[in-house]
Amino acid sequence: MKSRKESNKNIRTIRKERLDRGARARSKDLYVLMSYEDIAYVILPRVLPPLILLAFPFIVRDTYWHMVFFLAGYYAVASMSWDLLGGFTGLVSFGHSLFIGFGGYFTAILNVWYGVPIWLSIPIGTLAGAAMGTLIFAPCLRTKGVYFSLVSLVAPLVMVGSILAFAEITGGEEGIYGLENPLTELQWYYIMAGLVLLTFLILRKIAYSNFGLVLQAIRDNEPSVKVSGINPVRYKVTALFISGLFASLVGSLQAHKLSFVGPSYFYLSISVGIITMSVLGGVATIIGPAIGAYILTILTEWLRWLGGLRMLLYGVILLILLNFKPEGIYRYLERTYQTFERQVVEE
Amino acid sequence: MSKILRVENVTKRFGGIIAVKNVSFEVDEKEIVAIVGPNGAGKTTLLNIINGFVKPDEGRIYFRDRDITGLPPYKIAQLGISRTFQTPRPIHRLRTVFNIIVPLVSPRIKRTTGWFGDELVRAIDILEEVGFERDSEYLWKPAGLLPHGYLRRVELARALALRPELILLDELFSGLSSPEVRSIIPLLLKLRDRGLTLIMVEHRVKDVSEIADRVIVLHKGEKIEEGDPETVLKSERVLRVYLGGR
Ligand SMILES: Nc1ncnc2c1ncn2[C@@H]1O[C@H](COP(=O)(O)OP(=O)(O)O)[C@@H](O)[C@H]1O
Ligand SMILES: [Mg+2]
Repeated sequence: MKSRKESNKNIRTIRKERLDRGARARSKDLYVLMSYEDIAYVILPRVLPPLILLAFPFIVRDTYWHMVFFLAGYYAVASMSWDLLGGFTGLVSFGHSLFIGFGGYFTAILNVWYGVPIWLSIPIGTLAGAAMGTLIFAPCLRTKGVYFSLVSLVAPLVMVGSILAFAEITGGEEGIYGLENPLTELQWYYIMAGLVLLTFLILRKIAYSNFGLVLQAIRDNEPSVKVSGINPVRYKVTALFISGLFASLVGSLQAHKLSFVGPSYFYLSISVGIITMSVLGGVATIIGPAIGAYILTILTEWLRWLGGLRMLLYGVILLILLNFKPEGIYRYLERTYQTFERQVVEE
Repeated sequence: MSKILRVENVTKRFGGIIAVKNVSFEVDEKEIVAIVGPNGAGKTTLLNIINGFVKPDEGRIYFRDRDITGLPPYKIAQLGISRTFQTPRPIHRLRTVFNIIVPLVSPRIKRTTGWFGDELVRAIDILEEVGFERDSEYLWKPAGLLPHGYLRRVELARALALRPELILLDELFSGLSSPEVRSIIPLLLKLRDRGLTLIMVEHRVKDVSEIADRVIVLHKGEKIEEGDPETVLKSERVLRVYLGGR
């Protein structure tokens, strides 16, 4: 992963010779900066969104919207982590809520049953949640991706069943109440906003490292990875665990923020939401699923009166997207932004 | 001289079909061995057995006297056996250079070369060796967009990137024009001079007569002839298969 930086340097030197021949079109990470306008063009889309995210509580002071954005962040982190599996590795999970639920429950059990303080219950709960989810999925990684998808669909349902069956430990249908929550809404807002930015940076770094390259190779052509002397199962397990860490962390934070975990953490509607957001924003882009998460969460708030029909809404959006615009919002924006640039340069 | 590969009494059935039937042969270090035969003769299956994609029903495979029968493909690759596929299988959405980085990430590379340099430069070096221009546009295109002839070269580059000791080439020449074939032959000879051993699968004896040290003819899963190209070309049995069979 370290040598990737070196590699990028080399891409630049190799391509520099070709700047005058319109290298801009060949690579999205190469720019010829000649004016403040050019610099703004490159910098603004990278700096503006995080700035807005950080300044939002000062722009909109209504705590209700801070809570909505916390939820959007929760989905953004979960969807970006889903993208590492579904988008980059070709492991399409229909049950990413499994990690969220495990993270939440382990954290709750630690904090409430064993009195582990919040600053320990979150990291330990997160690790345990990711490990548990990985253990459940690992056996089906040897076979074709379809089996993984099927297991991912069934596993959270089994977990909900087990929670009800082992009510003495899990609290059954009522869940576990009384997790420590020493933070204000505004503090939670900033924790989540920071986590969204950090998750994006880390996952993008991973996705475009040599490790991520192998994941994409597994997605597109697993036999060719095997004959290249690489054990695909090892890579898949690692990707699963990394992805699970972020989803599990989100569940853990949610548990403390709400002072509650319940079977709803594992619900299919959460997993379907994550998939819909990822597809809406654009799969295999990391940032796309985050964009999708913010759009869809805010939309859902506006359409609150729909109530239980939300799942239906997600389903319909998903169907429409897959049929008519499978590239997603991010790729569309990117393309539009690039054509915009070309006109400016030609002047 | 020590044998790099020994195939002993290998048999593989798919349902009622016997794809490979009691085949045995040995390969010397730095040898170029061709396996030829008509469609369905069992050539690809034989390569699949050697590289671990297919487990034989009977028989054993030894690589440098080590029994590799039944090892998973990635382990066999790590030992130093790489291969190309009959239908080129690039990693479609990855740029061509990134296709070559995948084998460079394999533990075999770190183990055999102790090398932690720039994978990208190394990948471009290898692609240049198989005939790409260093500044070719194709290097940066998604591999799925390359023309067929280039895909064969990407296959070869991917197989070479693993720094193999033995390389299995499944119909490398098929679908290539004769100038293209002629441009690859010197490269294969150079690889052999560098110490590699090659097993080439092709359709006809004359495809490989220029380059192979030894030819093995498969027919309906059975080895029907083995020898140097001239002898095999004159063999009665081989003539009957190619003239009578089709
Ligand atoms: N995976 C498989 N399942 C069933 N039959 C197979 C399989 N692979 C190969 N065969 C059969 O084995 C025989 C040999 O095939 P193959 O090794 O591909 O021949 P060749 O490469 O010489 O053209 C053919 O009859 C083919 O149909
Ligand atoms: Mg074949």
